[in-house]
Amino acid sequence: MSRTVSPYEADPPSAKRIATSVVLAVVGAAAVLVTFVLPAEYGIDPTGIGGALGLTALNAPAKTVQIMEVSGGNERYREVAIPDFGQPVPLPNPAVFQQQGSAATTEEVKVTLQPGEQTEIKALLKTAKVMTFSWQAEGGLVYVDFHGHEPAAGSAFWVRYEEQQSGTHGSGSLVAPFTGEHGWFWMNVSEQPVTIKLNVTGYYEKLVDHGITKSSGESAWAE
Amino acid sequence: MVALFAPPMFAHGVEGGDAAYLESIEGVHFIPLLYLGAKHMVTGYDHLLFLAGVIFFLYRLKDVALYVTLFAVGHSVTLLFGVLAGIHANAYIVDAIIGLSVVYKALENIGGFARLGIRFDARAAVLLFGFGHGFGLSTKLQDLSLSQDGLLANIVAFNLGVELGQFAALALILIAFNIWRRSDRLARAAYVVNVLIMTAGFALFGYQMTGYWVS
Repeated sequence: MSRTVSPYEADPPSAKRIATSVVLAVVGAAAVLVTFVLPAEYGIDPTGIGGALGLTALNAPAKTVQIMEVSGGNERYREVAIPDFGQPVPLPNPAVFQQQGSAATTEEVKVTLQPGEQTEIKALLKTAKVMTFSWQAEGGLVYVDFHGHEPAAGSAFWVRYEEQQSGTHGSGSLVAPFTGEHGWFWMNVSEQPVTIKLNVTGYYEKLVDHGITKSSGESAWAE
Repeated sequence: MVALFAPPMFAHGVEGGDAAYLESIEGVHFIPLLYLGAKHMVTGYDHLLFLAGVIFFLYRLKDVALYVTLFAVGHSVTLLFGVLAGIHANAYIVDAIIGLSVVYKALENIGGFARLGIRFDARAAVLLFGFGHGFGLSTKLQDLSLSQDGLLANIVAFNLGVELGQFAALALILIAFNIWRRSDRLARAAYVVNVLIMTAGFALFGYQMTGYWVS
């Protein structure tokens, strides 16, 4: 078969014409690149025209927001890029939302302590589960130690959330740092009987009432 | 696991959703890979620009078939070889070379090499540039972590799809060319159109080289 030839190959234009054409092609390509493509694709805008046309916005650096790591983790904050087009910012810890099958349990517990008596009421919570609480003491002052420990670990360790040497109320919320018992040790430190009313709402397994014991003088609490 | 493979608008890599699909599959998925190959070719304007330059002055269907087959053989070889043998070339450099292939063909069409007294064997050149185009494709696929399970059959399906897509695109280009050739304006416009193709080739080259330097 014969090779079909471009009419220009048989009779090529002058060198000058070809050179001019090539130069025009290069200049044209450079113009398109510099004014449109590079600003849009890479944010490179030497002439400023791309910016004026609004093209550099296509390649602007992502805005970020600092989202606090509210539960768990060692980081206090994580910086995350804000995506485009109304997309949600990805959370460092998506477990801040916990889907549950039903509403949280709400309970009220009342206990009356004679002077010197102590009690412990604990909620069994799995890791990262949430509860809110509010308690009031009527008739006197109580010592309270709001704390948590793992029964499996025995007396190996425990954590303290809040301690009051003598108080009449407490309220707050807790995200359980580990699976275990998280609750209150109260001791009546006044001369009169004190009635403690505790309200708990949360996703705990159950409340455990360790009963009333006489204080031995120490603030050690029963397991 | 979603591939955050976001190729810029002008370089036709494998787009996000398709990339995610390719990374997730295991085993043979013949028809989807066939389709993706065809889609890649039909949207692959750098390949199509080169093809348009190649068939610009080819009037006989026999010649068109020959040159297109040479191109197809070239890019099939390097696509298969590149992916299966794990040849890793820099995607920007390969795409820049593809841009230069477009420049080469347009320059040859306006008699640039003839004026310089250089004669290339056009058939060998198309085959060689075909190799380059195929590498362009294989580097894009290598950026994705494709499952080894069924890889050969999937790449063959993809390659077949590329050929089908090329066939479809070529048919359209030929129809357009034939309509155009019947009018008198062809003779005058042919030169300018080839210079425009050359411009596009230079733009592709510059764009890919910028990408290379920036990354």
